[in-house]
Amino acid sequence: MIVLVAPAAADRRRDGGRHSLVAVAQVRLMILMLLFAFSTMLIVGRLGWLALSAEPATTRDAAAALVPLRGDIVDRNGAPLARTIDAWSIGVQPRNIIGDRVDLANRLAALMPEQGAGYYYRLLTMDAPFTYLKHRAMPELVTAVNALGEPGITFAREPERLYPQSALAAQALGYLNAERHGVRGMEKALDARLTNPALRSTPMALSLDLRVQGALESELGRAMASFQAKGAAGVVLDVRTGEVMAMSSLPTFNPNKVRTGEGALLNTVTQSVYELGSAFKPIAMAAAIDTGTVTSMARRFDATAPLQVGRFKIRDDHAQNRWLNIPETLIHSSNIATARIADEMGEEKLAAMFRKLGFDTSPDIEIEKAHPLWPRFWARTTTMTTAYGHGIAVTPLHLASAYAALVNGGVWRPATLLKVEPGHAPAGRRVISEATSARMRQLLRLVVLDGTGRKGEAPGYRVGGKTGTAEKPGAGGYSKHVNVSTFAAAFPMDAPRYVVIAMLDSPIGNAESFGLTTAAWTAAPVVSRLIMRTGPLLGVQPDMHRDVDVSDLVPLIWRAPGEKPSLAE
Amino acid sequence: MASIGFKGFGWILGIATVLPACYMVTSAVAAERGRVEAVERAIIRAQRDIRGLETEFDTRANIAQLERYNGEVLALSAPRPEQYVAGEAALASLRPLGEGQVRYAALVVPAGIQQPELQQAELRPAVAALPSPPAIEAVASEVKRAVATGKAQSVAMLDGKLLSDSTIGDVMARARSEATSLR
Repeated sequence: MIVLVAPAAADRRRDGGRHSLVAVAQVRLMILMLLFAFSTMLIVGRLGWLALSAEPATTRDAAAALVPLRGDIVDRNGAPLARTIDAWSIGVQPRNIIGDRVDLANRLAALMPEQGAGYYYRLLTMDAPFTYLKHRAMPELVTAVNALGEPGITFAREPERLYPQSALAAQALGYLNAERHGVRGMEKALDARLTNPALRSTPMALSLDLRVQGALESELGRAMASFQAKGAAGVVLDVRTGEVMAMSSLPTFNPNKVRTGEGALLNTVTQSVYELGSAFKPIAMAAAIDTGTVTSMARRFDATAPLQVGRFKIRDDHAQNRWLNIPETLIHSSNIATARIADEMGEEKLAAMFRKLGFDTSPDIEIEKAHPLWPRFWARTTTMTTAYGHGIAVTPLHLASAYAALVNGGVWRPATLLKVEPGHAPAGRRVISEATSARMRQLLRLVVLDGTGRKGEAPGYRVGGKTGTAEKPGAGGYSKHVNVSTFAAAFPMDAPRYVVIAMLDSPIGNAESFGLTTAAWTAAPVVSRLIMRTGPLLGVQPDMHRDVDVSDLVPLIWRAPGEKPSLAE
Repeated sequence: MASIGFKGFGWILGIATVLPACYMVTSAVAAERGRVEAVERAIIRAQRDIRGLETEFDTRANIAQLERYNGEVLALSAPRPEQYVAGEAALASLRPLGEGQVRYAALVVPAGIQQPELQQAELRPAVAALPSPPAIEAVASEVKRAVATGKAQSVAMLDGKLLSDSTIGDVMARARSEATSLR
């Protein structure tokens, strides 16, 4: 400042310029004073503004900190499936380390034994301002690492997504990537909703029931281990609303610790298509009854010998070598009789039925899904083989929705993983008539009472269902001994509430199944055990004195002389 | 004249008493408000703690863990259909079990890990065939070993401390008393 106002040495020498120098100095002083005044005004004004506008910190701000960064996901009863927690993370600033790095690496390896000392030494000597040593550390570990007394090691609390049930319903839930965005499952489907600041404080309810999910995974896991199957899948569906009560695909993964490139990420229920075999027969039969192709249950079809169509030969696994009526066709799971019925019905009606059930489009569900394999060309043989589930490949979820439509009075509804409030079920579309649906309930119940589904019976729960054992297409055509065994069931049959599908991929027969790999011995017991465990949880009260009336169909079943009618017991 | 002088003094006196009183009221209110805010903050802290503890509890007691306990220790099964009664009349006509007219459905015990049963089977003959006092140490060590392996395959996936030392102490004491009674 002094330098600014001091007159220059050159000016002092000139006498005449003295007066003008004073004037210049005054102007400069004035400008300086104005500057000071202005800056003071600015500060006073800002202070005044702050005093007027700022509110004192209230507890409301603190309460806002309670709202998680990403909303919780809960099951239909409110049990948490995914939560965001404040987890400790341990990091290191390699440049700020003052201790001996080798010694420190050894001590860290002793505290966190999942990595060796070499790994920690590499992190400690890294040429970077900061790197993580461990995410999601337990508080005890943080205390122990802090006790090492190294100033270069830092701790922070970071929001982390935790799945308390770990592997349970992993495929349905999905997981997050490093940027905390959902990459699979419902985490991806609901990403916008879960991160919306206005909505994330209320947890998002899925349709899953945790207890049923747990039972389904444990029963499937048990069967998969005992039959050494490659994979297993199961789904429990509410027939009235289309809600998925449980959905499981094994092998599964732990969303808390996802390793990329894991095959278990695949959700078999929605992402794998299978030729589901005989489990399709009730669908073809419903189409035949509904379209008027079959008007009487007593009508017989020739199943005396394998059926030759062109170069195809259709055989029966449990050949009866006689004429079979409608209940018998399903009870003995006759391919020949089904093919004859389908042939008489024709391509148009069967394909229309499949289309109405959504077999030509991806399943209706929020998560990842696969497109079914719809036959490219409908030959006469295609109509015949698709009727018993060959030549068309759909996902297990397709089958579950289709069975729900068969038994619930004939209305197909899209499956959903979101909780449907009572009375808000989608209207759906009519697939078959009420009367046909009632007939299907009787037929499916008969299959369990007297047919291939006997192992699927759960006493008191009035189970009805159909087995399906499909040969798996391999490198050189279908292989006889590698099967996809499915049991599709619904219960209770007098007023159906739930559809249960259990599927085992390539089971190997054991002593329990007498070496057989068919669905009756592998998948059906899974459904039976599951229903016995979860029926009461799902609100179905077992009753030994109630059942669907099948008395008009029982006389139609022919029995070999001396055979004890199993219905009598 | 004097009254005027006193009037001024009165004013001063009045102001001197009322002002501190007013100030005391405001400061008391501010203090009270501060306390309320502290309580509210404590409530929020507690809520956060509750959430954290709930999450921890749910994680430790997840379905897979509970099923493991059930398979190994409790062996509880779903109620059988006969155990449900349809209504009051059915309840009244309920006869006690054990007359042979009740049909039992298959019990579905959730499968756990079968190891502990195997150990028991190994253990029993060893205790039963206990002939002489020197064998007691052998049995005791066998019990210890069996318990130790049992502990290694610990019942709890998350918390190994749930099988406490007192449980092991009980097993040891029982083995010792059995050995003395056989002597």
